[in-house]
Amino acid sequence: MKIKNILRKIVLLGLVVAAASPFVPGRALATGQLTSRKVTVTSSAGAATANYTVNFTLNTSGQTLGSIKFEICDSPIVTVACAGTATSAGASFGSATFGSVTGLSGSWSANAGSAGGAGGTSIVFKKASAGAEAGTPAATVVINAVTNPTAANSEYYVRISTYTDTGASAPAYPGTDFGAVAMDTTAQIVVSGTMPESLVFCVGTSGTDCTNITGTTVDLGTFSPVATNKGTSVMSASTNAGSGYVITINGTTMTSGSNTIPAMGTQTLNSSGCAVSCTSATGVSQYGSNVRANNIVSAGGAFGADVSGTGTATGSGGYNTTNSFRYFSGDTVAAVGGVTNANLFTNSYLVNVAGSQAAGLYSSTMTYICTATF
Amino acid sequence: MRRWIARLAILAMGLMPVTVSAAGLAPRNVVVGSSGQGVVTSYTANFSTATTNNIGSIKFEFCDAATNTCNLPAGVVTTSAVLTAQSGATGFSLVNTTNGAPYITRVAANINATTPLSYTLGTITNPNTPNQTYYVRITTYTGSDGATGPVDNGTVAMSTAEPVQLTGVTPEILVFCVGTSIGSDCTSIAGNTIDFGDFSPTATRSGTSVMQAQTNASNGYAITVNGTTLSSGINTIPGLGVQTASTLGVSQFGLNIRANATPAVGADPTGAGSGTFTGNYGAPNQYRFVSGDSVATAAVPTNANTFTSSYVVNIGGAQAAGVYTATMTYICTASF
Repeated sequence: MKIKNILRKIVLLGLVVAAASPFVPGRALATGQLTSRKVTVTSSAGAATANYTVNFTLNTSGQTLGSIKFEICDSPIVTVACAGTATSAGASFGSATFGSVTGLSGSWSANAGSAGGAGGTSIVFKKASAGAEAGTPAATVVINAVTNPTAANSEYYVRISTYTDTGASAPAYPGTDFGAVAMDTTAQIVVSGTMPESLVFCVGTSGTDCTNITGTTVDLGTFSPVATNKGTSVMSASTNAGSGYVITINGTTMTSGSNTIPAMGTQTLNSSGCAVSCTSATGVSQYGSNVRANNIVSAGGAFGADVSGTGTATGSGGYNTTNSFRYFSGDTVAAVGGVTNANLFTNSYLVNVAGSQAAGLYSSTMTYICTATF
Repeated sequence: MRRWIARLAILAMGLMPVTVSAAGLAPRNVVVGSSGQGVVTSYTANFSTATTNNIGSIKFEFCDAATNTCNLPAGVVTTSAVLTAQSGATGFSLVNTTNGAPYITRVAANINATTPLSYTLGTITNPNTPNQTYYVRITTYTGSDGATGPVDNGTVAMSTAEPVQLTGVTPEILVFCVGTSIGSDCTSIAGNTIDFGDFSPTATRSGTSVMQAQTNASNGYAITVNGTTLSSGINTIPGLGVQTASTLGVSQFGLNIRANATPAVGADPTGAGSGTFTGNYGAPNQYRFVSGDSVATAAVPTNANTFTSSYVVNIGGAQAAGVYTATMTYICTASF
């Protein structure tokens, strides 16, 4: 008798398990499992308002379809209450609107919160009138303005169930076909940085930008009345100053003791005049510079280079004409009126001497000053 | 009890950090007298206020970053700074006791918004690294201590720059060239032969050569003519030992450095230099040839002069037939 009672209990337990097993996800009683399920959201932030694009394929071929219910739940298991109080707390279709339905027959509309859930955690998309689907079509449903669960990095679920009527009640939940999709809200990563006032300026004798410009000395060689001596230095500048920058050239002309080599060009600040010749002439003592690509036969041909780089700065005044040179301390040699990326300028120096130029070692220190106006 | 709660609330409010928001000084820049690393130079800060307020001090803080912690760029020295100019709002004096953070101070007085201000601080040592970006943070304060009551601020990015040393040598110069034609200078001189053609007792033959000289020798140069008179074997055409006019029918060979009319030959010296002909060869229409004679000189450093040597040849009817030649060698000696 006791053994019979035990066997009876085992049989009853087996019946209960058999009855419950279809209610695990995708295996509802007499319910087919929706396949190829996914939900794409426009934002995964907690509490964000997002559009949900739900993709799924019907399982029950030729089923009469009148409505589809979407729920946001704490659990995907059909036998567990949708709840909406734990990981999915705060989620809502309350403000959601119909987006679109494609892949299914008929005319569709939305009926938010009408069935199967409380507090706006479900929305029903329904046909104008129920009708049979051909085979097992793949559907895409867009639900606009869904409120995500409040908490970040929280796993929640969208349950999808189909019904033969337009009220999402027949057959009883979980309907004809059922499926769930796991989802997650995520923390928003805030990336920030500060761009301070910037002026990157460097001077040297070789290199292409301020990471590799080096050198301090330009040897112009041995001067001669029948040849032109030349040399170059380089400088690079960039700034985010709203009013850009100006670069001035500063120093004395080439000097050896009390002897000097006269500077070229009109000797007033920033003049473009050539009252003192701006043109190279052998046998005439003259010193000048520019920021252009030059070609002078007596100097051996080409020397110097035009400005390069992605910036917008240019050479200035008397320093910006090919084969024309000047020097006056304090002159602006290059400038830009606004923010600019880096430009590389090549400063070309030219020296001629007359036969009477006193012998000696001539030198000069050119100091370039870049002033940015913010 | 309520009274105690109220007191605690007031105390708590007093302990809460006070957030101060300062407006931006703009436009703003800092003009330096030199960008060389380690150079002692002047800094002129130009900026316009953003806010109308009483201003008692303005601080200039030298930093290695535009924001956050301000570390003094290596090499910067401001403790010797002096205030050399001020405009826009005046009456300030400089406090330079804290290196890297000098400020100017006065009894606080109103400065309207958008007022352009300019202050020049002299005797500041630049950072000691070339091509280094650094920053000057400018802040106005209501207080006179360079710290109390910030009003406006602004940061200016700056950079030292490697000075470029230009060097070159002017050596001892003597540029001298001889030929039969020349352009503007010795790079274009050419030719070495003068053909007088057939001599005749009834016609004067003439020709020219050119030479150019320049030097930076402090005592200038001397050019001599050297060679033999025109010769054909043992026969010669006598050189003119003294300055003599060209005379038909008389065997004579001579030269000078002038433009002549009889015969029409030659040119006076040209060029920007101070070189000139010597007396023995400097009279038009008067010719001479004595080997070793100085024909042109300059007493000081001189730019280029181009000299034209004019040769004349006359022969007597008895002058022996033959091909007569002479080689004229000019020697330029510079005295440094």
